[in-house]
Amino acid sequence: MIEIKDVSKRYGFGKKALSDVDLTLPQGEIVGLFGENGAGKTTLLKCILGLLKYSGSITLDGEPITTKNIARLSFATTEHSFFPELSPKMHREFYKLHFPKFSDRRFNGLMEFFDLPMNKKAQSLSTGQKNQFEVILALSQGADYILMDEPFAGNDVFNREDFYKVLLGILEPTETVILSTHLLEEVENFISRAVLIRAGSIVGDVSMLELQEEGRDLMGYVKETYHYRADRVSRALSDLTDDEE
Amino acid sequence: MKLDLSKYVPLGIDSKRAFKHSAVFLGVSAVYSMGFAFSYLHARNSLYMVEHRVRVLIPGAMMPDFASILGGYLMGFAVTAIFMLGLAAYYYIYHYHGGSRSMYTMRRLPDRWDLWRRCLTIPLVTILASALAAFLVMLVYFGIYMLFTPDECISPDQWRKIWDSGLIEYAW
Repeated sequence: MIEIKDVSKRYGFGKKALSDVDLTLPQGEIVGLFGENGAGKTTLLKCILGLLKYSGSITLDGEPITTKNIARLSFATTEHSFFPELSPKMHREFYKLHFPKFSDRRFNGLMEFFDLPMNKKAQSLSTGQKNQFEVILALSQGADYILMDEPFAGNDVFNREDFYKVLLGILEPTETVILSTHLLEEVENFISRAVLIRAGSIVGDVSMLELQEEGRDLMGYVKETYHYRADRVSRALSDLTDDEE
Repeated sequence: MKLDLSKYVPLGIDSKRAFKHSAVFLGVSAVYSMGFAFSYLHARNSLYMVEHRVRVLIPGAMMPDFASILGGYLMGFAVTAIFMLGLAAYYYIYHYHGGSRSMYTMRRLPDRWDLWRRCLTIPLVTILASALAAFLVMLVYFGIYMLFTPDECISPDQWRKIWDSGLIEYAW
């Protein structure tokens, strides 16, 4: 279980990117992390991975996250974290060397599924292929917690849909996915829990089962939590039209 | 046992080429230091005059100190060392190039030293090799100076003067 307690993060002397975040992520869940741009989703994931310094504590099964247990976390990011000059095949060798639980079978299977070339440099793949490759590495590492930050940005809807299906099919019950994305409706049927973050604070945390029982959908819950003003667009349009007149 | 050099450079950089470049830097520094020979010969020739077609020592002529003849001829090694600091920085920044931040992967490896091994091995080895080469070259040149300069023309405490001259600090 990942336990996040009182985690705050400030970039330089600027505004807090995270403010006293408390969150528990048990094993075996698929958690959607939602929030507007700049809400703190990426910062939170990077803090969990130790890529950013923060105040507060983040533990994995009660232990701080260090080189001893970092292999239990993997990361797929829209910024990409692969080695541009290396081919997928070379990545496989490197990952096998560093991550003892790396799954050759899963890697090869997913490479085949997405029809990615094994011997081409990663930097020469298309944007969509790069995203796929990034996710393949994260899924094959053998991690218990797979952190994904907007992993499908730049992929077409068919690719994304295929991916959700594959993901649901291959995940072991002990594997946890923490998925940060804007694609609420697409992942609604795929996640088991939704966490909402706004201006660096957790403003909503709900299981999909709860929502279903209450007969609500994720978009409605998000709008409600975010105090979304439904008349916002019509007001703006009317203001703009008035101005022109 | 064959040493796998690729473990000592960032992933994607040709290790053999990187080591070769370092060797070239050291080689050029060594060649540059050979300018000492010209300065030395020039200074040594100045000790003599020709009398009746015979080269004789000028009475009271003194050889300039070793440190002053050596001057900046070890500079190449210092430049190599400075360049290596730049190379270490380049290797670090390299993990942000090519539209990917492979630094994220490097920083979450269970082997915490892998990143540093890849960024620092060649620069550090080359800096150490530079320092060692500079010292050895200086010893050889000092030997030449002491061996081939007439004893009466050498002012005392040459070894101490090297350190007093600030030459070492100057070179490094």
